[in-house]
Amino acid sequence: MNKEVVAHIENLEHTYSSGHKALIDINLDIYKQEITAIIGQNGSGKTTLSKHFNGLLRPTAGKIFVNGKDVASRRVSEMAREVGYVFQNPNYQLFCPTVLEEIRFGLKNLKLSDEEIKARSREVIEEFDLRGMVKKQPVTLSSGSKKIVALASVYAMDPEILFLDEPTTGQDQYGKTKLGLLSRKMKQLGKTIIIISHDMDFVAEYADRVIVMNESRVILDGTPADVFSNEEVMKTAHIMPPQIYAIGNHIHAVSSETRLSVMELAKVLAEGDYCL
Amino acid sequence: MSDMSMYIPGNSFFHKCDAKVKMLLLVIVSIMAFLFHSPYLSGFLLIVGAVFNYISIGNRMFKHMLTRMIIIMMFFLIILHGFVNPRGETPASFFGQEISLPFFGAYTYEGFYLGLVFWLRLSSIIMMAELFISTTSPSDLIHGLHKLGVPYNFCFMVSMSLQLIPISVREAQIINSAQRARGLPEKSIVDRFKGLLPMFVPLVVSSLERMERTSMALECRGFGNTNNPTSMSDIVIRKSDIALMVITLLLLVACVIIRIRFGSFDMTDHLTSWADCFRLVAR
Ligand SMILES: Nc1ncnc2c1ncn2[C@@H]1O[C@H](COP(=O)(O)OP(=O)(O)OP(=O)(O)O)[C@@H](O)[C@H]1O
Ligand SMILES: [Mg+2]
Repeated sequence: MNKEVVAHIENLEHTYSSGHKALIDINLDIYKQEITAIIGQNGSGKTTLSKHFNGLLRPTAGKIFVNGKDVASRRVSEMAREVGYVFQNPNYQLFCPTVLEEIRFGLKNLKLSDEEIKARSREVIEEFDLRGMVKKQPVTLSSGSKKIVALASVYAMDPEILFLDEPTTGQDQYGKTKLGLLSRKMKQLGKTIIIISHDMDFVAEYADRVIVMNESRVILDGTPADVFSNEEVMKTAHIMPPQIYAIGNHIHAVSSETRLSVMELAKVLAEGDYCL
Repeated sequence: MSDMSMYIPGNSFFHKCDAKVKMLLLVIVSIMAFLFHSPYLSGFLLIVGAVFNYISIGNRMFKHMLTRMIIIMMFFLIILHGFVNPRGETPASFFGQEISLPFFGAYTYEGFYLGLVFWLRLSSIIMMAELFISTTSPSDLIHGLHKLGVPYNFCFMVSMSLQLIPISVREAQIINSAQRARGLPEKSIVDRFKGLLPMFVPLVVSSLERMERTSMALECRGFGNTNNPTSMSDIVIRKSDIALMVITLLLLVACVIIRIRFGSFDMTDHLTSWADCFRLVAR
């Protein structure tokens, strides 16, 4: 398969002014139209890494390229067209009196014409199913809806790459599914999506690729199946794989089956060849 | 970000000193600074304060916000007063030349003298405040205030607000980056001013929300059950603290006596040269 690279990182390092080395020797390629998940313990450097893509943080050493261009020489507001970033806490992001204005804020910054802004915001409201709340004050929404609105307001700017920092925290199952399906939809529309998450079930379900970070380094990079069946790395990074993978890993110990999805597991169980 | 609370942890004499003693020191210095209308005593206090600060926090005192404030004030007060002080009469000579501004007139000896006295008074107090702030941890401060009879709830409120400053600064930074990430223009200074509004709303909202959350959490943990909660640590007043207190009190008494017997050493009406500004008594 020939994958198109949208972002490329070379020997990236970041040291905070406190002296803490939050990123060490990161080398990565991010591929177009993939959902990439970044997982790892608290403080492993996930947020720090992602903030380099739009220049919110600048590398202490190394380089980062988005669409072939070096981020170092560009302003954050300029990068906003290409890289959207949805913050962990939507409260920091929402400030307009209504949801509609919230969505239009970014579009105005892009200096689009009035017609374009209207058309685009209508489109986004449709896609994110926000019709019921356009007139509401973002501050008064539930935390799940706030996250969706924050995402919508960033998505409206039509960035090629979208970062979602812990979108599922505080979401109920309905909200999570909605987010997952939205991510898939955005991917089909040609977006590249990077999700930082502690929700392994969500990652297993929706990610095409998983990057595991531990103590400021990337320690594993692969498909969800590869990553979650690597018990050694899971242990170092203190990650509990989703139950289905845990079962798969255990069965792997007694049979020769390797990775399992729910369907595969059902098949193995039905055929009854799991007991040696 | 830790330098926002301005407390600099350490192990010096003044760090171990009781907060009440330091508070008293600050009060005495404030009185002494305004006792005389002459640069000498407040100048002396400024130097002593600077030495104390240096002993306590070393080189970090030069980077301290309050030290910077003193230096900025020096330029403003001494230069501005020289030109604008209404008591200014005698134009000062700078190597035989007068310097004058349109509308305000010439730089005068009286203005210089008054500016200098005013600056020294303020900065000696600020210097002592810097010593106090940078060597007293917020919890010691609250503790000291409470011991002095300030109601516990009020002390607690003060300490919570002090902690809020660094948190809000941090929050403001996050909010600002969230908005730059949505393409908020950041080219010119005008853009930056425009960026203040989108920053303001989330900041206020989150502060209010945090306030509500904190107050609920406090109540859930029994805050307000008693007005005199017990405390974990108790700073004891050492002999050296008492010695320091006695010395400063004696100094204060001596100064008050001098003030009553000999007056305030005000030179404003006797200025004809630069040297006059630094004379202790009129010729
Ligand atoms: N502004 C800062 N100054 C100093 N150190 C920081 C700063 N921001 C983060 N760090 C430190 O850098 C490390 C990585 O932080 P980062 O936020 O990237 O972690 P994370 O993987 O996103 O964690 P989480 O899962 O909790 O969001 C942490 O140890 C953190 O304490
Ligand atoms: Mg994070």
